[in-house]
Amino acid sequence: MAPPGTIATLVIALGALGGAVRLLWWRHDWRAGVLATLMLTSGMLLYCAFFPPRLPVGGETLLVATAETPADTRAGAGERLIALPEAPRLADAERVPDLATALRRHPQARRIRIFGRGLPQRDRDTDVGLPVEFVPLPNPRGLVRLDPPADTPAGAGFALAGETAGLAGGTAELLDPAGRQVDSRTIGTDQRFTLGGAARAAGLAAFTLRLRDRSGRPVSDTPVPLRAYADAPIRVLLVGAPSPEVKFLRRWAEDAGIDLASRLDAGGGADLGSDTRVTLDPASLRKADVVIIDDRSLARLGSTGRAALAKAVAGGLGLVVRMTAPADAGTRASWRALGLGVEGGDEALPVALPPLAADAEALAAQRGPALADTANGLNTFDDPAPELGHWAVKTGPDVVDAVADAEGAMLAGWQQVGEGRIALWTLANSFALVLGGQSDRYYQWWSDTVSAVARPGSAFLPAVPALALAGERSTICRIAPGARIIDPDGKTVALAIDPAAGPAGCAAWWPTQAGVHRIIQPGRGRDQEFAVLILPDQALAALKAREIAEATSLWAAAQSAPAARGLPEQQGPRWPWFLGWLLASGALWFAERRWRLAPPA
Amino acid sequence: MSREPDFAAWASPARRRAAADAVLIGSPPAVALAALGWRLGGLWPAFAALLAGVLVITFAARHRVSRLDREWLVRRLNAREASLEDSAALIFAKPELAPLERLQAERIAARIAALDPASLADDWSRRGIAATWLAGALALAATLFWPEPDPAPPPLTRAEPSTAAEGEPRLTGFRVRVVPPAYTRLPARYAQSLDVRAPQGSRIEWTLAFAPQARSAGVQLVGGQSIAFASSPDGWEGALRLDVPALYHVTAQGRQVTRAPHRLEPIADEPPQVQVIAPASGLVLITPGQRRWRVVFEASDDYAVDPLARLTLTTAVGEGENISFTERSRTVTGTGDAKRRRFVVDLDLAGFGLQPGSDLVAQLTIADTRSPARHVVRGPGVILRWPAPVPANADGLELMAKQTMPAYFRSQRQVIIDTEALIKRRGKLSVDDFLVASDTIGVDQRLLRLRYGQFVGMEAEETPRPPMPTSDKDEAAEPEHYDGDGHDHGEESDAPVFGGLGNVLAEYGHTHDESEAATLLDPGTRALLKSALDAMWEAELHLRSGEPEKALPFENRALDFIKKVQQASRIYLPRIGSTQPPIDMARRMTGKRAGIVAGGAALTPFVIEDAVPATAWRALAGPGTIDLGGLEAWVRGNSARMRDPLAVLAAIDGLRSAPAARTARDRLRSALWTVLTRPPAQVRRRHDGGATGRRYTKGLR
Repeated sequence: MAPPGTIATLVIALGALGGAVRLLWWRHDWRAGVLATLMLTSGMLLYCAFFPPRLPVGGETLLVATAETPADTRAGAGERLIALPEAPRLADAERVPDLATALRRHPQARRIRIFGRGLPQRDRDTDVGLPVEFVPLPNPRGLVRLDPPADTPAGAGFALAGETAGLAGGTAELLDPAGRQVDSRTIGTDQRFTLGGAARAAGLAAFTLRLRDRSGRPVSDTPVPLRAYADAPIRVLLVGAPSPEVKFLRRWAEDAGIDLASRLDAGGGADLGSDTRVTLDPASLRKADVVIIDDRSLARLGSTGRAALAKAVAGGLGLVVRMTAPADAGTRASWRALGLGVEGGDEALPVALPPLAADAEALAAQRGPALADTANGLNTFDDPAPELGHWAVKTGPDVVDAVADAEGAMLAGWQQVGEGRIALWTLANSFALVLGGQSDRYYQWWSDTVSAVARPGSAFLPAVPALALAGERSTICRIAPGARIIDPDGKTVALAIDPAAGPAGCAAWWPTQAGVHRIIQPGRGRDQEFAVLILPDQALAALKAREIAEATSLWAAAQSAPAARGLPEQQGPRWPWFLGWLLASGALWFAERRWRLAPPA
Repeated sequence: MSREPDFAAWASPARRRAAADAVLIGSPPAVALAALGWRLGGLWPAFAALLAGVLVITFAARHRVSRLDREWLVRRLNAREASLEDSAALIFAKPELAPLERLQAERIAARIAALDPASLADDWSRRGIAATWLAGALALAATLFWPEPDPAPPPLTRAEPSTAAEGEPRLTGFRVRVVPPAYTRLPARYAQSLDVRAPQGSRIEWTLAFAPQARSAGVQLVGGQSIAFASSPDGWEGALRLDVPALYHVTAQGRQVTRAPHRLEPIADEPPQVQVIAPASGLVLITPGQRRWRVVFEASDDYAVDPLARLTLTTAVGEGENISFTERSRTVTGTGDAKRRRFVVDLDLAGFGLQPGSDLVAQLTIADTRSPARHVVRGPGVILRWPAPVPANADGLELMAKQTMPAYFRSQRQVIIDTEALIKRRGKLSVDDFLVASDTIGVDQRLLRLRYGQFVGMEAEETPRPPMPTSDKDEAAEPEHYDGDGHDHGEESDAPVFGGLGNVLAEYGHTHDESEAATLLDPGTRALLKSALDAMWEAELHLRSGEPEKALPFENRALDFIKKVQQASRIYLPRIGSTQPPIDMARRMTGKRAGIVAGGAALTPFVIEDAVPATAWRALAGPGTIDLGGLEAWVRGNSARMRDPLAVLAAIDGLRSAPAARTARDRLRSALWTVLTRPPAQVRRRHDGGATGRRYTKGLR
């Protein structure tokens, strides 16, 4: 049997058409035309009242309130206001634990508009399949970007950078764990700053980044974790001729805990170096982590010696070539044979030294208590900086700066060759720094250079987020099964490694409280330990707000993409059609009565 | 003639004298009384006392004047002048006289007219005046300089209210009096809080009040002694001498110590500083014709500089190596404020015997008044130089020309004197003694020859010596034998004795080489010096074989040559002094290089003595236990290097009182950061990135 719709359609169509044709049959004037049209219209409206057409209807718009949503947010017609847990108290808002719950409760929602700071990571994990609209709030005043210091060798300097919002003309200060100011910079119009300090004993320290506004009032205090390492001593072979540079280099190596063996040829076979003569044969090169050699000694090695050295570098050895004279074509060719591609190096340029610290007080705080044998009258800050020169070499993109001067000229740079690295030290008489009272800078430069090239190790070094907040999910990688975390109260949390992460060995972790947590991994013989500082959840509020806003904008843009989905359709309401039919039918009835149209007699 | 002379004219000198006398006697007590009034009550009482004194003096003076009446005048005239025949009353007293009386009166009147009224006055009462003035001065001084009595101590400062259990003594008030050591001349003061910062050596006096009253009270130094206080009407009192920084708790019987400790921080006495005000630079060149030199030093100290300072004046006269130093010192007195004294010294240059090329160095040594041990500081020296004449240019020579000869060239003369003396004594000595004495002179001659030999490039033949005299003191002892003591060179014990045949060739052979290679002397001088050396060698030969007579001509020839050398043009000295290590003759020219480097690479390892705080610092990150005792001992032992050891000690104490508190651990950890030594920048390896990372870098080319 035919569906009722078809029957009703046929009946209505037949009735309307029949009436109209009958009228036009009878009369041929304009009144009959009007009546016929009304009749057809009425029939059509009747049909529509029975079977309203499917319309692309939007359904409901979800207004999602997130953190810092304005309190006067109200739902209008066709809108529904829901509040995520971060949202403030809002009138007429429905509280939901997350966005997915809200969508499940309100399947009719066809559009999402987000208010406030944006969605937290929890709600951005999946696509919602609905167009999303999000206009971020302006950045809150304070620290909106922080590049914390990288892991630092004990005693070395470190740097941190950041960006603020609304604090141009203010100051950024770095306070050491005891609260003394170590560095201070004025925040420029680009809102960015860079600060520096120095690590001391190995361990995890919490510096503080204090931002002040233009009038000097503190705006925020942000803890900055600094992890200082004391690695297993690296083994260095020092080859060269006796010179003041070598003397101070040996002094530094001895003091920095480097296992140093030196060969200092004084000519005529006399070696002023270590008791056992250092040879650069493959066996000793395999055992060494770094070889520091001056250009003349390198030239004297001969091509076979250099080939052995190049082979060892490819196997992971670090090599530092120390320039003592301008480079000529032959020298450069021998360097290229080793894998170090540089040009130039025959012209000496002065080195621009940046100041050691912002002022004498900060320098004292950076240096810490003086050693017992330090001279009393050392006045490094006011004394003129020693004049240094370096050979200007031209390098390609393969060579990375290890040490640069204040104007960005490369003083030492390294290049990856196989598993190892080769560095070039272009300073002629860097020991003048020590004589000029700037031994910490000298040590820093050599530490940077040697650290850059030293043979890589596989010590327990889990990859953790640089700034982990309490109450936020973190990922720890490079750990092995059996790793656990001890929180500041001494409670242990076992880490479950995600099998999907593959060889990276990652586990998720949700720290609940701030403080120093220790990652313990059972190793061969004894447990290996790694400390992580978890910051209080509000420590990076402004920074997180900006991050969330950016991430939510990106996520919202992905949701609103045109390819997301075709618009839905739905049966429209009947009453407008019915009303139209009623009007059309009424008008028809009225006109028929008025005009009294009758069949021609 | 008037029979009635003017009584007033007769009495007035005496009256004036009497009034003045009374004023003189009375004024010192009045002034002293006024001073007393000023001292006790201020200006108005002083004025009142002065007024009263003036009134009393006026009254007394009037009283004394009123006693000098007519009868007194008659009595005085009669007593003074026998020639008046007891009849003065006739003139002054009685208006109506009998004729005889009138006659007598006229006689007397003539005599009286010859008298001087001033002679009638009483003498100054000198003793009385002196006594009152002395007593008045004493009283005045006593009144003005009588030490101010100690002001009454202020009421106790109210302590901050603290929570305490029922019946537990609560600190309600305190008073801390700080008495700095006497030498600082600082007045005693009252501290505003229980944290005290005071000069080192101060006496700290506490007065503490508790409610309810405690049975006993005191102060407990953190990690140190405890001081029991004595009860007094004001509260509990006790005292301590502040020498080292310390922390303390206020204790009372039954009182719980909960609050942070208070600080006792001594301010160390800084040593004084000396600055040169004039001249403006440390080295001043003398101006031609300058007779005087003015040097001004300024010394400053935090409390007081001793006004007496010691000025050391060193004169260096001479040139090249022939410089003699004289040092004299004198005491100078500073002027000005005790904290900043100025010492002005005017030197008369005539007394120093300055010549061209000589220096006068003035240096001030000052002290402060610290007790018991004064800080003595030697200030910077200022040099007044009389520049030496510039030598002629020595072009092409990398040397500096000096127109001088070494000071020890003169001792060849001494050898000759000794030889002549020995020849004279020949008869008195035994043969052996004579031989020994001759040999000893020979040794001297040899030493002298070696000395000269070095100037022509000859090497020392035995024990290595510095090729050139390296200091003025070293070389003065040997070649100058002015005492004439028979040449008992005790230090030359390894010198060859006569008859020892072991190293005859080394002794007498001319083993010096290549004297032409020496570049110290110009060729003419070198030839002269070589002739002198040859003569000396001959002289030595004869002296050592016991023939001083034969040696004498050679000695004289050598002296002649040396005198010519002295008159020769110049000697060249290397521009920079470098002391080469002595040459090992045994292996010289052998070509063997084994063992020529003796432990050159051994470096003393660098020690940072902060293992204790570093360990504690790392341990504090975790929940483990900390050796607080060891840490505290370390902090106390190393407090000189730290800026604020008290902060660390306070943090240690805080953790000790609350061992489980995380905040206390964090606070101690923060405080420890300041005492950690920054090691030289160390090196760290990069991570190899695990198996994936290794595969990746292997794939690189």
